[in-house]
Amino acid sequence: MDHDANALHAAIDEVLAGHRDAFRHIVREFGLGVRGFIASQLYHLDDVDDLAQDVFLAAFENLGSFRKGDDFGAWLRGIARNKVKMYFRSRMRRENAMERFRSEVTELVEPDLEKASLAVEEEQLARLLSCISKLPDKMRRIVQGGLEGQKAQALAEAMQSSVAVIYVTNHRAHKLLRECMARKGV
Amino acid sequence: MDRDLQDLVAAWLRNADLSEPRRDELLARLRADDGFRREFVEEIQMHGFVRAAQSAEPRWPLLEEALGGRRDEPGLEDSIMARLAQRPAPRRQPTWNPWWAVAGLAAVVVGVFLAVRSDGPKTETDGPHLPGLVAPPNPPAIAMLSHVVEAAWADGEPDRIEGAELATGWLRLALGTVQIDLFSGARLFVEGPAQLELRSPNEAFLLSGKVACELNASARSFRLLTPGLSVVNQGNSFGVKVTESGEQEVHALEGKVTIGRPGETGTSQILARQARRLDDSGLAETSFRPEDFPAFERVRDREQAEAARLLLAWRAAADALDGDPSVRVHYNFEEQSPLDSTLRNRIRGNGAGSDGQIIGARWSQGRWPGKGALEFRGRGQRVLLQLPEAAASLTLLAWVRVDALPQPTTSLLATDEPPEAESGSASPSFNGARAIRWELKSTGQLGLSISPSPAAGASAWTAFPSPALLTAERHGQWLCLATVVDSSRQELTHFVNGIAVARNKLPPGSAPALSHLAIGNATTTESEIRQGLSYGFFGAVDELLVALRAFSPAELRRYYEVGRP
Repeated sequence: MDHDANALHAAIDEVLAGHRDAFRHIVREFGLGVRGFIASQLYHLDDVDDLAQDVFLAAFENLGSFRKGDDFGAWLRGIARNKVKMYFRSRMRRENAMERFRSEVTELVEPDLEKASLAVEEEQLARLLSCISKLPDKMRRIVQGGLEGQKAQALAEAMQSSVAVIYVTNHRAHKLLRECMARKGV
Repeated sequence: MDRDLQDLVAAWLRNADLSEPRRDELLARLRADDGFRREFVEEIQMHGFVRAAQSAEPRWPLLEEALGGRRDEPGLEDSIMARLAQRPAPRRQPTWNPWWAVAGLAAVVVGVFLAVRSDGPKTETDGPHLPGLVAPPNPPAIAMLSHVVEAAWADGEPDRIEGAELATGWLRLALGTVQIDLFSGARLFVEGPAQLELRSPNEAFLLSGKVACELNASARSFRLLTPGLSVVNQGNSFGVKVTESGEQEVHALEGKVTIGRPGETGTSQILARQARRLDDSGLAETSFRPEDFPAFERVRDREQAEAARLLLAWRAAADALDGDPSVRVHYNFEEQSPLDSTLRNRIRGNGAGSDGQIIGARWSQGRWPGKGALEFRGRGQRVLLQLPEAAASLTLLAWVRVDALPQPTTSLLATDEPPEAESGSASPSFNGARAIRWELKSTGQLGLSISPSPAAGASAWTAFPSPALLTAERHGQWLCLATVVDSSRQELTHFVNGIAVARNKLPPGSAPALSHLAIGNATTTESEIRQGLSYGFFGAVDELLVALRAFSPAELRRYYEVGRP
């Protein structure tokens, strides 16, 4: 992701020099990206935020091991990947076949997800909210409502539509969002 | 959307359980099919970004503790705004695309944002410079988009909203139903998916989809063309259907309809409740199925159902807001009689503002049927209210419909001077606080003006304007306007429809005087009266909120989204 490398390095230097408050800059810069990365793999938003906090705590504690010049976002995502793996492992013992299936899918798509994350610039993420607000009404309601759990059925009923149409509309909305985010100046 | 992809996404989102063979099948495809895997990753990645971006910013107590206690830091979205402000103004795309309007707005916003931010506060006497907002010449309108029900426009189409004027050209509707009123008097109900070209007030071309056309006695004749037919209506109504595979049908819903074929001189007529289908051998009889076509009553029913759902959602959000201790005034204009002369404040208890005293303004309909509003028609009309305390930080939010901006400055909400402070003072001040005027300029700028500090010895008010966004094409639409004064950061930010459109640095000592306020008007000084100045609002207000803290951009965006009609 496209971050201001000088500002990041200055913040890292400050934290390592004992000014821990400078870490706020890092949280602020990478918070949405890390949460988004984890949220693409986890269901419960509370879990997403807990894991994101763990990622930043681990990053704070291990900041000295980060090599300047490396991609800091990729470094954070590496920590996040481990946290997500541990999360799935801890749950697999007590969860059902579907949970194990999701865990397996996560492992399968991990390299592609990392590649896709590298391709998304911070600037594009900053445009996401504006892009969502400009979606056509029906698409916007579906995107804002989310499709997790029973929401797809509820949306389908509320919109007098079918679950399949809701998924297709959401898929098309994502396509529009990607186009919008990729467009400079939106 | 690929069936495997849909099943996998549904399972991923815990919306479906899959059998073991199906799970194995999907895992096998994920392993073997790179394109499928990439598509799935794109889908879940966007899910993640959308969820993270839309959720409230989390509190991370462990991290705060590690960093040494929490400080009131700017939120994630503020950081995003700051980054946006550092970017050069974007350039307009050379060709039309669905995000053109967004890009144009953002270009203006960012440009003005930078200009205003770097220049510091402006005064009215400075004549604040704003980048040019010369609108491209529009082709003449031939129709209005009168109703939009659960509609989504196709890829590449602009996001047209209800009330938009339509010129000649293509309309590609992906979902839902729209009502188009042509200036000839013809009324078209179009059901998506449909591709329709408006060619003139009297003619349209349907490439695919379903259209019902109504003409009343006052309308001129209208012709709807399809790839193989020309359907002429000289009264009453008909329906035309063109499928993606090219099948075409004409149904005479009421009265007779004349059907022609391209390249043929003769025409044929069908009577009411008859239908014809075009096939290889020409026009053939087919069963009459009026229910296949969008109809006025069904569009209205669905529109009303949609409005009722939106009203309920907004009510829940508005009620939740009333529990916020920083909110001192919340007029939601609900559960009031058209004869009421008092506007009820939903906030009660210590520190709450007063009910409003309505002077002259009339009750009318708000954003949805069943929702109240007050309509203002200029001079004299206003609502008076009081607040028992002041605060350095402040959020003003109102849902307004601007009908006209006929004078240089229109007041939305202003400090209303008590009589004793009025006499002999051009610069009202209340125990060190400074009078404010939340206002609209005839140029379409939203602004907050602050009276001069007596200590500074200046006479002109300091204006903090937004770009000129509330221009004539937005008149008549419900807009969510908000202005946030954040004393801790010495900033004043304007929002239109949940989007920050201008941020200004505030000079120190700008605590606003809020004890006596007027909605929709401001008291004019003798000198202003002599100049013929007035501040009366022309439009309607159906929600107004005053909170003694700075709302975050995320809060304002969410409240806009739940309240947009």
